[in-house]
Amino acid sequence: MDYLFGIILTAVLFASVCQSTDILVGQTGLLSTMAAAFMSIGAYATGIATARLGLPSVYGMILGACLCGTLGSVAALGYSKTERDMFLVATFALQLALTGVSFNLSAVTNGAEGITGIAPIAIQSPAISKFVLFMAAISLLFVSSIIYRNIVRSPLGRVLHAIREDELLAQTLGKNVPFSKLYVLSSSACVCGAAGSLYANYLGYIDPTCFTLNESVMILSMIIIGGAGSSWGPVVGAAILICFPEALRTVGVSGPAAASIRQILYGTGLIACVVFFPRGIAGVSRKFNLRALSTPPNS
Amino acid sequence: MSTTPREMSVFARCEEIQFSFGNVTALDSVSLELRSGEISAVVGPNGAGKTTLIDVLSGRLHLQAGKIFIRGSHIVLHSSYGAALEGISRTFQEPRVVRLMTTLDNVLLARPRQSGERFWNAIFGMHVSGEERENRTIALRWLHFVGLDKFANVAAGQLSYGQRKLLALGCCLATDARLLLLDEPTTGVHPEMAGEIMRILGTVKEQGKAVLIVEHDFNVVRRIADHVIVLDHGRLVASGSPQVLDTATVKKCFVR
Amino acid sequence: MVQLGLNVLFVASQFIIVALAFGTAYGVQRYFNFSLAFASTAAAYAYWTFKQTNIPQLLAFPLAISIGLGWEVFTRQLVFRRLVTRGADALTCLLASLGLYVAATESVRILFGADTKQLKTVIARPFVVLGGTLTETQVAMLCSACLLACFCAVVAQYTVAGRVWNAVRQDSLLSQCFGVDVERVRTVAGAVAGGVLGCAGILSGMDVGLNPDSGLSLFLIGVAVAITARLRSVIAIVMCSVCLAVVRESLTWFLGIGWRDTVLFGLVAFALAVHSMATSSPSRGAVSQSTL
Repeated sequence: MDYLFGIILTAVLFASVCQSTDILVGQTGLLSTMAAAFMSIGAYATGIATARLGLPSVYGMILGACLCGTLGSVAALGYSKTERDMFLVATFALQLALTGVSFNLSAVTNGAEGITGIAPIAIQSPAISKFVLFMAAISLLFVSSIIYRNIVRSPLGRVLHAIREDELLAQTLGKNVPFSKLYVLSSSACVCGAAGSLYANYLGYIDPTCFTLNESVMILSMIIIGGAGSSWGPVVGAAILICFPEALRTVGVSGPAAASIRQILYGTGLIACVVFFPRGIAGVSRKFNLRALSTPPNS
Repeated sequence: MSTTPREMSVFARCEEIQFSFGNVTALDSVSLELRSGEISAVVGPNGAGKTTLIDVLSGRLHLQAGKIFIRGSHIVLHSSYGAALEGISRTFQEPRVVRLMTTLDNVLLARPRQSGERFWNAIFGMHVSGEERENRTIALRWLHFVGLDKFANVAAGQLSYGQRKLLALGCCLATDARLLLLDEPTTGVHPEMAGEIMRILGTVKEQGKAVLIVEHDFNVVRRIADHVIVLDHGRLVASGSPQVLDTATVKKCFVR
Repeated sequence: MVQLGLNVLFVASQFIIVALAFGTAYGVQRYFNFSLAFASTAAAYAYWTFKQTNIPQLLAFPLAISIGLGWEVFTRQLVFRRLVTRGADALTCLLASLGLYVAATESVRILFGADTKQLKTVIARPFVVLGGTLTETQVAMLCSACLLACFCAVVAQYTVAGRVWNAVRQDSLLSQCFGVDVERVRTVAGAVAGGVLGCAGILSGMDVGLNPDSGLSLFLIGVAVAITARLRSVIAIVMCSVCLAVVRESLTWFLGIGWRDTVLFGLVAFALAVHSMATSSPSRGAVSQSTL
């Protein structure tokens, strides 16, 4: 039962991360491999707030989300004029750098040992704590879905679509491209930070190996395989890529080999999607309906 | 000293503007005026600096020397976005549209000052519905103006070359810009479509907008331009009414 | 300070080799190819395997390098050529290369384990230079960097191959119109890059040991230097390599060895931010991404 709870909670949290990151990837066309870095910041903020400062978890989540939003804004402004492939490489490097910082900045992160003793989100009982954690995760998924839906259907969604296709045209038509990127990157980072915070509550600890480049590539793979730019594709991608590798346990594959096989699945899934299914699972199952794009909001 | 109506209607003025790509001088101390309610045409042989002039006026390139005045005020254009805020809009030689969006959405995109483009308004849906309905009405009107209202729900990428040119022009108009910079608006389209574009430009001029077009076709220039600017190797060699095209100075530029 | 200086020289030589390799491929392929990161890993692990089976060094070294070279040719034909024919943009190719890198690296992790392996079995006496020390491997890396830099400068400037490479780099469509087999140039450039990175991977493995993630650091170094130098010339790459090496080794000297990779990745991120601010100025005539 605990095992099942863990899988479902992980799937829900990563679904919200994928959905918020898809505003960046699918809508704006900015591929990023630092979602896990933002999750890590949220998790460490919770760890420091609860285990070191003795504050309730919610403060850690707020602190983590604010830190992530700030870092996301800085990254967006710093890379506002970067070409997309260089932006991906830059997020790659930032992810690796942040992982390195969490290993080496022992005074804050406690180095490779990490921070243990993160208090559960509700201290009344383990069952209540699990329930509250699960409801918090569902709420986060709900919030990120609402954000996604509202942005996509709004004039801002049109601007992001234009940025994805032709950034110069968007600028020429008077759209503030750097600030649009700032909004989506910082909001995506906030959601990732909140998800990382909840995940740390679930694990009860955080260390530098929890959210590494592997997790960032996994998130990107979830989005691409599920279908970037679709409302439900990233959620499905997250569910599949979290749950399916667990099936490896049933055939006796576990431990480090299972982790590596999972990564191989992500890598080959990414190649297969790029070569054969550019629109992922969502693209395979739907017809492109242009009429939907012209539907006014709230109609 | 009182100013004449012609002087009062100057929307944009360039003073000794200069731009070079490395060792190649694209604009060499060019001074010109663009007036509201007037179509100015820039002509010149290949490499004369015509598109560079548009790029500089639209903020895509940073001026290296000289000044640009918009409505009498000295403006430094840092980007295309900055130029758009000053009421300047442009089209490109190759019509640039958002191919995966519908024609209507392309024009909707061009509408200025949409509160739904602000992040918090977008998330909470504040002030969006009413404004969106209004913008849709205006966008459909512009589509009708350029003759594309039947294609409102067609993907822009599915339009023909000439239709995409019309759409780009429609988007330019939908920005409510006061100065339109059009790079070869009739090039590559069949004569009927070119005629339609010229008719549209005539109506736009009557609405009081300043229009600058880059043109290779002298017939088009003679037909619609009020003022002609001739560039050669980045220098302004002649300017005036379309009759200036028949002078020896201008003819010499095109003979090598 | 002498040791710091020697460290800088060695690190700069490593940077020069990988930057020249990356630049050779990127200049004509025009996308960041993460599978190049695996070429160095593949060659290094191949070399380790050959040494385990007692194949002589003179044979093991070129065989291992050919593995790196072959990997690039294989991926180019199987994946990238298909994408380019379809009109895929640089980002799509980058994604595919990322998938290749992840899948291949994890396969190596399963086959060989995640532990660090030593490539050098006999520890030779280090060379003493002005009070500091350089190992045999480090001297080999320095000499390789010098030779490679000279070779690239000569080839780029004075040979037909260099002129063809430059032509494809500047305008692949026009080169095609003039009868250049652009796909072949790209494949050969990728193969050369794979081979050179394989060599760098083996030497690096001899110096600090080998693990499945070694190739990524080398690849990102190449990216940072090539981006900073903007592939203008071999001299620009050499100078940028030295500058980045100075910054990295100085920071590592003061912060500690554990910060070495962190500093490197931070430098890469910084170089990309600075590059984008410097080259995105419209006065340089920013052009939208061309098709490959």
